[in-house]
Amino acid sequence: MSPPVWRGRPLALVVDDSRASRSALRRILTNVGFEVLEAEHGGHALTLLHAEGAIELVLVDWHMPVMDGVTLIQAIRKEPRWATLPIVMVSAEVDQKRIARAVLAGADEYVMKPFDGPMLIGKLRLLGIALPVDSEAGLR
Amino acid sequence: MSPPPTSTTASIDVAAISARETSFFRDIHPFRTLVESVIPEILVARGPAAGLTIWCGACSSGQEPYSVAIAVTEAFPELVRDGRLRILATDVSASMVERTKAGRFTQREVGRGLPVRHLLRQFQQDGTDWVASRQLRQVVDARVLDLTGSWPIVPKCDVVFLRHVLTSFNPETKRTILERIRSEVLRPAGSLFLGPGESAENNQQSARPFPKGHVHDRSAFPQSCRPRSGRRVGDRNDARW
Repeated sequence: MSPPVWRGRPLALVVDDSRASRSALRRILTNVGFEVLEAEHGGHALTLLHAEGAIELVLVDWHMPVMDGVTLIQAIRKEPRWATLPIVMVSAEVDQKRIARAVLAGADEYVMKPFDGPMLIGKLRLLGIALPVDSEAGLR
Repeated sequence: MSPPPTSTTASIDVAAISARETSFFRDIHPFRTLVESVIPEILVARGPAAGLTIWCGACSSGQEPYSVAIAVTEAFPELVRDGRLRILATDVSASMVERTKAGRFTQREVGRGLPVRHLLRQFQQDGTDWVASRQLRQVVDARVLDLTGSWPIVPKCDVVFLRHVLTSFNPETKRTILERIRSEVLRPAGSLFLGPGESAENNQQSARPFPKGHVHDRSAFPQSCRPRSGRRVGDRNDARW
């Protein structure tokens, strides 16, 4: 079976109520070849997920208005078509029990804030996500 | 053990070695190869009840030996449960060895390369640090060792990790270290892991090379470990750990 052919920039969804955090994540993801959509809370994210069928990666903060990150992850995992959608929680919550709660909800990986490009790219590599652009570019 | 190289041949940059960058599961692929093919082959060759000795020859602050410990613990829990796994972690820096013994890592350090499920299962939070489990710390035996000196504490090993350090040595010292590993340290079915930019090529041209397939150097790193174009991001490659 031949490998799938890449026909465009993959789509990532960044969910965070902080404009600064969204910008930082967008910059890193763009550098490694993603197109990025942004949502300010979980409710907005669900709307975008339903509207954009091609989202291939979700990065989500924990504390947000309207719908928090853990609730969003639980909502995503309830949909069979999103059962294997890679979800990375990016949060300032660093307590071990809280991190475990996010993983139990369905997060595949967890990035503790503060973070940098190599930490995030490393997590994507751990998930086996092949990056379309030389990933070293995303580390600078 | 053969005499160590003289100081004139051992041009070693201690500061560069001690300060080198490290992370958990660095390059990912070697750790998969270790548990998916190398250890199973060793257990076949030596018998399923055999003990396993792994040497991390440049352990820095401990991320590599603890990555090895986690990988083996997850894949072969019986080796750890029965006390049949020993990971000798050595470094030229005493402070790095103390850090490795403690198994204590900052939030930033565990954020580099350590899968969250291993963080939750194998570490305990202590303030802003994370401490490796007692089980892991019992498996990792950290000692000071200068690779250019004598190696009295190094036993016969099944696996040697000597990654991201050979480039710190001049070619003659590098050749001597590799030859000593081949002739004095590695068991017959043993394997040597080097970094993705390192090679044992010069030693392979000698009269007594490493057995074929037992050196995992830059030639053994598959394309799947390198960034690729022409592939969808959502398609998981085989590097998931």
